[in-house]
Amino acid sequence: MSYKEFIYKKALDVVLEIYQRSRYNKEVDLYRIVDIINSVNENQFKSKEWLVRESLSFIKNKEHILIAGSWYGLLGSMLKENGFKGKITLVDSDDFTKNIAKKFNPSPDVMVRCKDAVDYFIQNKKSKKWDVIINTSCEHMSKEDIQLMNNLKDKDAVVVLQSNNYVEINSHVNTSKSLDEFVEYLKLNDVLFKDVLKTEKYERYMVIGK
Amino acid sequence: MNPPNNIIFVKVGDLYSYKHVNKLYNDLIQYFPYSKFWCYTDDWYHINNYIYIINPISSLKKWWPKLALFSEAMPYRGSCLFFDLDINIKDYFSDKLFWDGLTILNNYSKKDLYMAEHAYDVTVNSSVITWKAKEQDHIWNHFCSNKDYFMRKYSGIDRFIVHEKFNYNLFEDGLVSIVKDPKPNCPIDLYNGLMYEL
Repeated sequence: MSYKEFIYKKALDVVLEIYQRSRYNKEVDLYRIVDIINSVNENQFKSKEWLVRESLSFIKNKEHILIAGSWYGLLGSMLKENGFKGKITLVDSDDFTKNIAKKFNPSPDVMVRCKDAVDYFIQNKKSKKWDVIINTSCEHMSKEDIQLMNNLKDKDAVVVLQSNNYVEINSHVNTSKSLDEFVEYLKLNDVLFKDVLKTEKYERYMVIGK
Repeated sequence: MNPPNNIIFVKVGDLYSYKHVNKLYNDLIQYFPYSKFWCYTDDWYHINNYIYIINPISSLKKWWPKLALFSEAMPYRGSCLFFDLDINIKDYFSDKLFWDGLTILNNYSKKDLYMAEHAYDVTVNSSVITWKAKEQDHIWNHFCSNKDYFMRKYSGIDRFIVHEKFNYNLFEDGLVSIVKDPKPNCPIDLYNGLMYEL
């Protein structure tokens, strides 16, 4: 089974489970079905495949990746599939994502935590040594929070950051108008890679740096 | 009925201009000369000097900043009356207001619409809200606990309030007329998504 088939199978299992529970429990949230399906849609795969393809040479020998705002954990699974041997910590503030992220990431090297990503990073940065920090949803976080994480990380830690110019989405509170605007507010000491992925509706930006 | 201690507007983004804020202020001040006027805004330029400015406490956009008005961090005290900016005040209406928990409008134009439970649609409208400051901060706190998910799930704060099961009351019919489905003799016209040009 390919990793894509594995992810789709796990997603369908969860969707079925939600439906079955909803038959006798009015508290079951059916919108989760939509949310899970969206988390593995074509654009999600494209943007994360792009990330893996471009970042692997910078991160493959690192020991511990922190994925901030990991949603249902698709990226963790893709990094493992593509040969990353170290540990991965997935952090998301949405408690419901935790169990599904673990289903997508059965490896014991992948830890799943429910917490605001910035709070988790600040509270644990002394005890954990993350040498890679990935955030594929900078458009959901404030500039100040992203800059804070960049400032507080180990100076040699690599950051892999994605954002976009998709302003129509309500939860995109920090879109960038261009790649240059994104690069500028990140205030990184060293930019190792930057590029644009064009999609039908918007542009996705990615910056790898230190 | 006592007039509100505070009358509050939200102008975040560029869908509405300072002109909408100032017009509402001018329309309301004659009825509520002793109320304090506030505007929660990311752009106070040209807003009437008699309106107190509240700087945003989060980077939310579109209608979501309205929820921040329930935060304990807001500077006002006492009874609050909120208006969306696409509203036209035509007459006195203080006798129709009350402050008992959270009070919003009945959207009578949707009363015959079929809604499956999982459509998360509602027959209420939050274009006019009354509450007492600090008493509804649990709504803001709950929103902040998982705001990205709520913004994906619900297309507006009315749906968030109803489907996250917060307690609310409804104003009696006769306070607002929804422009696309008008009712006679209401003191307030509500454009509710139709473009409201001054």
